[in-house]
Amino acid sequence: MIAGPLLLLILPLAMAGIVYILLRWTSVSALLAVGTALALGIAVITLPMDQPVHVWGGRQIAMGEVVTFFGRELVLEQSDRIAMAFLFLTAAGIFFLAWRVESHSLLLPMGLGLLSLLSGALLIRPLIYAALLIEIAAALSVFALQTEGGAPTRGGLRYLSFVTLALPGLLVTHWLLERYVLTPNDTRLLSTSAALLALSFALLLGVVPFHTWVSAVTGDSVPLAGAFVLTIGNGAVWFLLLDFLETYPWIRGHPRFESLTSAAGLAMVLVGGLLAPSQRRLGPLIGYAALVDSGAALIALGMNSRLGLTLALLSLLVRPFGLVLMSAGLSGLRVRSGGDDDFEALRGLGWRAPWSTAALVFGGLSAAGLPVSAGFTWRWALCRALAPSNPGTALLLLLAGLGVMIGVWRGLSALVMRPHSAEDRSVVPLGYPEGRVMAAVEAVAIVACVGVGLFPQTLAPLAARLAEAYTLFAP
Amino acid sequence: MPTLVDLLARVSFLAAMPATAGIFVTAVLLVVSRDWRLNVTTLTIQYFFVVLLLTRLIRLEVAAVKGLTGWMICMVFYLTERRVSVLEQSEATESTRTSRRRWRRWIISARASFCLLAGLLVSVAAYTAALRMPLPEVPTDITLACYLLAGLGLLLIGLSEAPVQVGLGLLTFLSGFDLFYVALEPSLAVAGLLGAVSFLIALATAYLRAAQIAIGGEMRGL
Amino acid sequence: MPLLPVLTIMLPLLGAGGTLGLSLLPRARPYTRYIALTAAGMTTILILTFRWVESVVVIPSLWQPSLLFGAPLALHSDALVQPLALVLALMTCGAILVDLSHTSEPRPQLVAAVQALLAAGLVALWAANLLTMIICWAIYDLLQAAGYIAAGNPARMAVRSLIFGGLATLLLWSGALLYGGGAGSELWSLMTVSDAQLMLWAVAGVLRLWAYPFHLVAPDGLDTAPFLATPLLLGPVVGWGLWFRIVLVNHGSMPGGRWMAILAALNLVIGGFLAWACGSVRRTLSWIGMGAVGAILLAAGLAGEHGTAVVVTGGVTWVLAVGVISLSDGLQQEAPWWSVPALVGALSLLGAPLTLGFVAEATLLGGLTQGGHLAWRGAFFFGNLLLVSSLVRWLLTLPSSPVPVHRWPVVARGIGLGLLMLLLVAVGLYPPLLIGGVRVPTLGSLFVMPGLMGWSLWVLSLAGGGVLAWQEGVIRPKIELLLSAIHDLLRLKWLYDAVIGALDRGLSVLRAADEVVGGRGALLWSWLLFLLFLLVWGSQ
Repeated sequence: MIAGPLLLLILPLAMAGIVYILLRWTSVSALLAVGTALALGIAVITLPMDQPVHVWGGRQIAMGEVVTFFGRELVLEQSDRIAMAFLFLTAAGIFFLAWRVESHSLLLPMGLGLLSLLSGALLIRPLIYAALLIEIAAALSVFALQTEGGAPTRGGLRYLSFVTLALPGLLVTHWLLERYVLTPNDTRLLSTSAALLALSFALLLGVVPFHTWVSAVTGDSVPLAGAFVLTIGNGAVWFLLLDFLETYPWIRGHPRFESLTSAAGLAMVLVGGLLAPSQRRLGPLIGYAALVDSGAALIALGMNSRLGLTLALLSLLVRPFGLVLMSAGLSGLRVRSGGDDDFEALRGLGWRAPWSTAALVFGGLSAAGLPVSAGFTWRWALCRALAPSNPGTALLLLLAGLGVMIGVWRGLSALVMRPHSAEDRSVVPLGYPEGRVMAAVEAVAIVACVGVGLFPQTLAPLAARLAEAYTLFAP
Repeated sequence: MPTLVDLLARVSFLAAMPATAGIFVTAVLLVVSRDWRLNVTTLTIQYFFVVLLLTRLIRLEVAAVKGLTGWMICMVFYLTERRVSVLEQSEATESTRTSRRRWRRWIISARASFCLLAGLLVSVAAYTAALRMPLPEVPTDITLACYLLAGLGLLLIGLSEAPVQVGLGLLTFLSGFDLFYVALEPSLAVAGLLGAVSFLIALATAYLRAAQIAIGGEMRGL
Repeated sequence: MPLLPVLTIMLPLLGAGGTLGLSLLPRARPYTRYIALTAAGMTTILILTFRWVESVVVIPSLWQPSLLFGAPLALHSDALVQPLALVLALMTCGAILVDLSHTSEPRPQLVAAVQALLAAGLVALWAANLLTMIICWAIYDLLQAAGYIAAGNPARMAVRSLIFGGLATLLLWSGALLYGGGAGSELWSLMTVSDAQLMLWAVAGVLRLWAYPFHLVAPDGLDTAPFLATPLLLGPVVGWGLWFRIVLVNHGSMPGGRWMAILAALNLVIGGFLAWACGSVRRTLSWIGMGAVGAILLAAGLAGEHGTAVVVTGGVTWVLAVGVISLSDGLQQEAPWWSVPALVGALSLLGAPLTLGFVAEATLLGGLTQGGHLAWRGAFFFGNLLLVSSLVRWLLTLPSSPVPVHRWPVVARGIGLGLLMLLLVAVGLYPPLLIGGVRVPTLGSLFVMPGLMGWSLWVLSLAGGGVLAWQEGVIRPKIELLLSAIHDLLRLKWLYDAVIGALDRGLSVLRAADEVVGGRGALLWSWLLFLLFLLVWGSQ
């Protein structure tokens, strides 16, 4: 009988090796990567937890079985199922896009390896090992972020640095909390743990002033790999944070929890909203869009209620639509600009790469939280929830979204410029200069984004169900 | 033939302030130097002193394994930089080499002064922190070593964007943290994972360094 | 019957899909316009049947859980916006018919875009709550931008329309938030709103109407586009839909008070001037439209609590008149009767009696003559005078293409223009034929409303405009340079460029700071800022 947690750990790792060997054959490796991620994502959410399921050759899979791995438990709980499905299905989407836009990068094999590590981080108990696995994942992500034949990525190193700096806080907290169990009168242990935890998660989530890795990751790395880090990697960190809050309820009960979380979110929204429109390159623009979105999610968490938690989880579910689409668009454009994503280098490129441009625009709409896109649904819900008590924060979110969109509009202006045409008219016949398959892939992604934007009931109940699985704000 | 454990046991008398002083010197050297040979040698010696201090907190065998991990990391750096220097030497001319050496000396001295000063400042801060905020479960000299490694590692990461420098900084920082954390959590699994983290950081650094040289070679070819 | 509105929206979309699909087959490409005509025609017929069908609320998407979103997407084909929906569909039909009368084939992308734009316009008009309207506006903006590009318009036009449309959408959303978040989910008919909300929505409405000072979003490059691109000129139809709602929730009054009146008067005067001073006659239509917008909004402002009828009739007149003028293509010397629809359109815009525009005009004249509105009278006089002259210029301009001679193109053109002209006249004679949901004053009361002074003002402005048009050839060459300078000054492009430049420079400061903090030494900067924050926080 194969235990579910082991399957989620071992299979992606094994497939990572096979995909790496077959990387030369892009379609085969992409198919394997997408298939693995898709299959595991579907399996984790559809297979029953309480009874084994027969698969091929008389083997059985028991999703709910607890596994002991070098003395540590790997447990798949109800709250983990949707989280794991999110990781795997998002990865499947990223691999699908990477098939056409980043076919020769290490994203496919490294992505599978990262999935294995991040799954382990969410499954392993105690939480101390999750921090170490996330650190290992950060080190591995450097390989995925590095552009083949390009200069060393600053983003990868910076991301690794910040995650490494976050590691001590998480590990020491665990020891402090164990000490607290032995000496419950020493409340300084709790306050020190809270401070260390706050600092560690601030580093991991890119809270201002530790946000510089976010724009660096998207600035000069493989775009889809950057999106992988910001959606799946960041998502795993969020789920880890929720696990901490679930395991140690006194953190959420701390008198400063609400104000600190909201303030951190506000700072991220403000900085991202101000810096996004000032960018002259698309890469850092994506980073600041992610910063605004992350900040908004923190604001939602700072509401300290079941509704806020649901909104934060919804933001995680819809975030990939924006960031991944933007990154796919950026990839397609960079290929045609010689790797440069400066607005000057992208002049007029939109006519040769219309689908990448469209992906960038729709992804930008989603990342900015504007209609008609997946990101709008969660931002609408958040503003609606904030408006009665915090109208200023809600308006600030709108303005930050506008800031991100201004950056996208500036990029779009450069992309559709026709420097060789005196009349600046679109005289290029709109054929398929990007290849029909690539156009189809990007079209599917755009339709998915718009579809969720019009029919959020496909994802929102999942977020609500996931929020119910956490007992954080149980009445 | 004596084993590594035996050798460590013989030099265990150094596992006090001498080791801390050695850590201080090696860490400051890493901050100041940009010469790969010196860096690799210094890192090796630094790991030696770290292992010495570890012997006071955990079993000799475990400390030895940590030391072996560290020296393997040094080997990775050595092999990478050796390959890089061979590539660079085959493309440099005699005259440019001489003039470059002269310029390098001048540049290094200016930069080295700044880095040295910054390193000393951080060391003073680490010393003050060790006195004012002693770490639990570890003696004072190890506290000082931890703060020195963490502070100077942080400085090394912040002062440069070169992959090797940042990698050295991360490893220095992790060494400092490892030195403290083994006293809190002597679990072998954690030790193993921390070792894996260090090794992966070294591999990532080497990968980026190779990419740096590859792009540099392409540009020279243009 | 909820199927009817859904079908009405799906038809043009299916037509667009069919057009694109057929265009892949070279032999079938000439027939794409017929598919578009069929889809638009059937859509028009379906909208006509709404008069005899009870209006229902259709929910295309549930948006659950309602705790998060408040309300589903809802469409309500109520009587108030039905006239606009009908004229939009008719205009699309008319544009396709007139385009059929020409041999040159438009690009299939444009044919598809026009149909999709019709569908988007319908859903935007039928949006039953703010959430739906916000989403529909976004869809409309994207399709409009695609339409501009397909029509061969400069790409900056498309980007500009996206930007202004996005700003309008955000203003709408902000207004919803001010209500405590609940306004987004309430039906329009159940809403109670504050002044601040109304102001925000009024600004959004001004943006959508392409009114001054947001006039630069109006397309100025469609003069060389095919006739099929005429629906792209009718973007303000969505704005009129919003104004209908705003006036309704404000109990029939225009929001904004004196400020809105000033803005409306400015639009009338400056729109008229820009239209008259514009060097190229073909580019004057957007300014003429702007002037007409000003007149309608001023009339609605002066109408007090009876503004709903003014806005509804004025909006419908605007769409019909601007559309038919655009389709008429100047004066054909050998067949001057083809200019009759444009003449009727021009008269409607000027508010001539027995046209639909007479409702707004009579109300405006009546309002101007009451009280001490000397400034408004002056603004009306000069604005109307310049509008008249500009319209005459347009009507007498040389056509861009020869009139068709073969039977079926002639028939198509005749039906296309004739239907629109007949509607303008018929509804002018009997407004309840088209306008439902609001009480329109009778023709008799409209004749009496302006009084002697109002009628004199109107006639004088018409006469003045006529004289100006007559002396056009004498006056214009003498002051052309001055006109051009004032035209450029009032056009405000220099102001927009200056604002954008200033914003860019301001943002460059932020960018420089970002490059310092995020560049080399980013880690040390982060820790420095963090320690500073700790110091400040600790000291408090």
